[in-house]
Formats: sequence, structure tokens, C-alpha cells
Amino acid sequence: MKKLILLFLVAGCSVERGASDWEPQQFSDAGPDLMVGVDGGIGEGPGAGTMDGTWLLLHEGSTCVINAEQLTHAWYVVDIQQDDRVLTESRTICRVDLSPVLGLRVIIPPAAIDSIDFVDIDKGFVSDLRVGGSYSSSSELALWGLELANPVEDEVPGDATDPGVVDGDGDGQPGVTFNVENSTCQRFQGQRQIIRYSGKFDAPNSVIGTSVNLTDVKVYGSTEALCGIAPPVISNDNFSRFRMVRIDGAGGAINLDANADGTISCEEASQVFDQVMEFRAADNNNCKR
Amino acid sequence: MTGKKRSICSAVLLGLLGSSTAYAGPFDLYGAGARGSSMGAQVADAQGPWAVYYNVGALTEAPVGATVGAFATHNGAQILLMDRPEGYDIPAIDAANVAPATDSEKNPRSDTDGIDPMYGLVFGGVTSLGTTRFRLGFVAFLPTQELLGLPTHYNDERERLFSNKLKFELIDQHPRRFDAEAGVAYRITDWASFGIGGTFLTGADVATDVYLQDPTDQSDIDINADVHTVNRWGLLAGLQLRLPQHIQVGVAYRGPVAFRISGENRLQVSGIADDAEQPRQQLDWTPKYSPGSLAVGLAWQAGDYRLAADAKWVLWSDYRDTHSQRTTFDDVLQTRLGLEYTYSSDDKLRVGVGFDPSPIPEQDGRTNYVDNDRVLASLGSSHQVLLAGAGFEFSWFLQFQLLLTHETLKSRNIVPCSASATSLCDEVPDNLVNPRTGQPYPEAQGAQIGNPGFPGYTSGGWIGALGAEVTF
Repeated sequence: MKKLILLFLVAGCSVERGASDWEPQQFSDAGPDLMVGVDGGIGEGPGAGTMDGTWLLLHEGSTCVINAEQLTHAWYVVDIQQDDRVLTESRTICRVDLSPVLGLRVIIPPAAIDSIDFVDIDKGFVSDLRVGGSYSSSSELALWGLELANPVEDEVPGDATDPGVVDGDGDGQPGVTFNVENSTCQRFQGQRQIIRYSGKFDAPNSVIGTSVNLTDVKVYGSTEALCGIAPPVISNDNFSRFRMVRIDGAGGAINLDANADGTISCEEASQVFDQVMEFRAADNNNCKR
Repeated sequence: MTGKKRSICSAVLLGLLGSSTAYAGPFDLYGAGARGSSMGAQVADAQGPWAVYYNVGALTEAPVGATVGAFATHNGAQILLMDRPEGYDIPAIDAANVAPATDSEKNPRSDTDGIDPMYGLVFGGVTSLGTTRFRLGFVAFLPTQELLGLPTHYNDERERLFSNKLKFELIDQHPRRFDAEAGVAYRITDWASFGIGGTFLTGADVATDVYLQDPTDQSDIDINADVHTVNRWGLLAGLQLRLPQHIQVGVAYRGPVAFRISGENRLQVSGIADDAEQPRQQLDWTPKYSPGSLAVGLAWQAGDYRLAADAKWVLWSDYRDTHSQRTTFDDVLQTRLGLEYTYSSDDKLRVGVGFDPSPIPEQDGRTNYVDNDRVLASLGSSHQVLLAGAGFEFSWFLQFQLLLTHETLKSRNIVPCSASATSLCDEVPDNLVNPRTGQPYPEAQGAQIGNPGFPGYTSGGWIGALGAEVTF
């Protein structure tokens, strides 16, 4: 009797698994694509979730030349590839403005700018893309009229006949040729500049910070003696700063790709050169030690 | 969306006979004594020491003597989880305060296939202390596997990090304990008796002092414990009236009793500043709980037949789960009907039926309290024998309880997980930001639900008990 009842219960009262009518849940990538919105202002937008893309960097470098501050404003288009937290940066320098020293303003002609050779020696880093996150650039090593076997460690040649000195801008003169404002005086020089930028995100599409600058200059001649003077250039990093903003339209940023060819030229970026950061005037007090 | 379906087996089992009463202690679930377990309805007509459990007022009818018996359970109870729809798993996100990924769960989500059987000994005794109107009695259940198991479990998404199963809330662990009850009764008049007693359960106050020398090496700790057991008593009270026409009426009250463990872990962590507050962890579990109840019963003797009926209002609304959380359980009315047939001066046949509605409301939200309405059927008999010149009564019972199949489907009302959430909850906030990118995680969009009860489950099956005892 017991066995019969047990058998009946087991056979007839077993539980059947039910089925739910919940549908599978699918979401498209809700990351960066969701964040691409209409073009915003300089540095605006919610961010793309990556630094991949094209940025515009304005560097206001401070140096001291004979106790006078010289400000160098340089605009770069920076193409960045982010791999995890490591950044591979490719820079194109668009324009360099120097403030006058001792009443003389050096003008860097476009041919000289175009001749600048950027050398990749390391990578940049980003810790966090949120506001407050840290950014450290790769080292910007630029050789002006020079070709050095070891671009970091070799000394900048002091003799124009040294094989490391080249006619960078193709004007028949050693190194690159700088002009002096309101003057026909030209200076022929070689220059190595190493800059590293460190900053924080003040907005998802904007990084502000400071820089460390190393500049070695050797003059190989000039058309006039006065503009051939090359006093020591001393880094004044406490007063150097930069701002880098995204300009490729990703993450709600402004899109300066006017011809929609997928790349942003210096000419396209130049539309906003004066909007990236407010300039300040050179202040010799910054060079008093 | 929820639904219920009743098993066709209920109709079949109703054709069988048997019964029990409210459940949570071993007697609560399967009845006390062979007669009570086979008839169910006992409030007006409890006999022997088992009156202490059913209606302590009826103890005055009990003959002086002792009872010893054995008891075993078996079951085919199941909780079958519905297949999870795709796209709701917890993703592997390397961020703080995010639930562990589905792939890293310690145990895979799985069905509950049966509950552990229970074996035990029962004891009872009655003495009159030499009087005619007074009785003192006790009953006890002693599990032979372990005196007291005190496991706890979560009834929501948290359990996925532990067993990742659902548990029968009321019929599995709660009855698995020792039970000791005692009472006294006095026959006030020839037709009225009153009794009072208590049901005993311990509790514990626990405090531990923990010293952690190296927070990065938590396997090396020093611990002192300070544990105190606490005696907890539940009130028993009963009244039995013997009316004309062979009618008896009983009223019984049982107070709630719980095994509750409370206290705290006091941590000292090396390196924390002297003026900083050291962490404390609060402990509060209620692994055993028997609800209060109020029962009325009626019994009628008609020739060789004795018919009994009980109605019991069980106060489940005061229930706390194993983590001492308040629930929204309902008070329920349990019913029993029993028949005893005297087919010879020494032999009696007993049958009973009953119905226990589940106090647990639909679990279409966050929680997964599992329980079923139960149909009870049982039978048994007793036989008087003479051994070595002494009279003995041998009794046995066989009891089945059908768990009416219940299907639970989770509602589509999904809210972010929080301590106060009552709806099914999303364990990964949609606005969770990747610290590296500053952007929301794509895989955090929508609902990520690890709750083992999602999207639903079906529970049912049966439980049963077999027991025998000797009274002398």
C-alpha cells in the first residue's frame, strides 16, 4: 500500500518546469556612440570615452632670456591613439608665436615650422577620462634643422659643418631660418626642444595643465650680428601651461573637419586658435629669482 | 505577472486520509504523536501527553504514563527554476561596488531537488502527582541527526553568491530542531478543564572581538567569542469543554517562539588611526521560528466513531526570515478533519485530512520566499497489547502532504537594487561610469539580474512522515 502510494505520488505529482515569457535583452553599444551629440563649443561635450581622435593643443611656454620672460605660444594638432591607458601621440605643429625679448620678436616662418622633425621616443598616459583624471603626454621631441643619431642624448652641434646640422627649411642655410619682426635680419640656428605636458581633465573633452620644457639652441650664423645673439634660454616651467581640446566631433566635441575628409588640418583647426585659451602677456617678474 | 496552477494530484490525495497542524517546528509541520499525526484535528480531543501541544487544557483527560516513539520523514519537494532569458547576466566589470559577474559565481544557479529527510525520537509523559483533577505533562522531539541546525539564507539576489538556489522557506529548515513543551492542566469542573504551559527554544547573544593585524591578509586573525544562550518561552494555554451529546469543544493558544541570534563582531584593524571608529558588524539571524496561533476544535463521539474538526488561525504576519527581516506574510486559517473508528476494544483506526494555505504572498518581485499550499492526508491505528502482564498501546501513522504546484513569474517592474527595493532589481546601475573612460559601461545598460528566482520558478511535490510509538 505504502509503495503504491509513493509510486503514485512520484509519478503523478512531479513538478514540471515552467517557462517564462521574458524576451532576451539586447543593447547596442551604449558607450561612446550614445555620447556623440551635436557639435559643442571648445572643450565641451560629455566625452567619447576614449582619447582616440584629434585634439588641438595650445602650449604657452615660459622661458627666461636674460631675466626677461619670453612666451612661446604653439598650436599643435595632435592625433591620439589610446590603448588601455597608454597613448600614442602624433603631433603636427601649426603655428608658433614668440613674445619679444629686448624689443625683438623672432618670427618663425612656415617653412621652418614645416621642417620640424618630431621624434617618437615614448608614450603618453591617461589615468582617468573623467573630470579630474590625469593626463601625461608623450615626450615631444622636436629637432629644428638637426639630424642626430641619438636625438635625446647627442649634443646639439655647435658647428654648422657638423653632419648633424641640416638645411631643414631648404633655404641654403644651415639649420632653420628665423626672422626678426620688422627686420630683414635672419638667424640660422639648430634647436632641440623636449616638452612634456601633464594635466587633468577639466571637462571630458578638455585637458589643462603645465609642461616641462627643455630647449637647446645653437646659432650657426645670422645676416646681422644683432640677431645672431643667442643668450641662454632657461626653462621657466612654473609659468608654462597648456590646454588641449578635442576637435574631431567625437564625444560631443566641436568638429573642425570642415571638408569631412576624416582628418583635421592645421588650416581647419586654425578657426579656433584664439578660442583655446586666453593668452597672457609676458611678465618679467616671472623671471626674477 | 504571476500565476498559480493546482496539481490534479490534490483531488487524488484528498481521497486519502490523514492530517497535521500548523508548521514550523517538527510538531507544527507533521503533528505531535501518532494519534495527532494521523487524525490532525485534536484541539477538542487531544489525548495522552500530546495534549500539551494541541490543547494543554485537555491534558486532564490523559492517563498517567509515558510514550516513546520514532519518527522519519521523506519528500519529493522540488523547486525548478525557469531558464534565464539571454542578456540579463551580470557582466564582468572591473569597478568597485559592482556585483560579481555571473561567470564568477561560486555555485551555479540550480534547482532545489528535495529537502533533507529528518529522523528523530519522540517522548511524552504525564503525571497526576497523586491527584485526580490535576495533570502535569511534557512532550519532546529529539532529532537524531543534529539537535539544532541553524542555517540562514537570503531570499533575494544576494543568495546567488552563496548557494544560488531557492529554499523552501517554512517546511525545510524551520522544523529541523528539537522541540520541548510542558504544561499543567486542572479540571475545574466535570465539564471544563484549563491548562497552561510553555514551549521552549533557546536563542543566543553573540559577540566576537576580532583583531586583524594585516588588512591584506585576512586569513590571519585573532578572535575571542562571547556567546550566551538565551531561553525563550512561548506561552501555551488551552480550555477544554465537555458538553452533552458527546460533544467536546477546545480552544488553544500557542505563543510564537523563535531561535534568534543577535550580536556584533567588533573589529580591531591594525593601522586604523587611534581616534577613528573601529568597524562593527551587526549580527541578527532568526533561523528558527514558530508562529503564534489560536485554534478552536470540535469533537463528537457517535458510537464507534469519533469525528474531530479544527480551525487554526496562524499568525504568520509576525514572521521574520532567517536574516530577521520582516516579511509581508499573511495570517492564514488552517483546517483539519479527523476520524477515529474503534473496531474492537483494543484497536482503533484513524484517518484525517487537512488544508494549509500558504501564508506567503505572490513572489513576483525581489524576494523568493518559496512555499506551497498543502493538502494533507494521513492514516494510522493503535493497538492495545499485553506484554509480561503489562498493558501497552502501540500506535503508528503515515502522513502525506501534497505541495500544490505553484508557478511564480517575476514582474517586469524593475528598479535599481537597494536595501529598500521590493521589486525585482537591476544589480548594475545604468549610470555606472567607467573610471578609465568617464563613460557609462555599455554592458551596464538595461537590467542585469542575478536573482536566482529570475525569471520565475515552479515549486511543488510532496512531503511525508512515518512514525510509531509505544505508550505504557
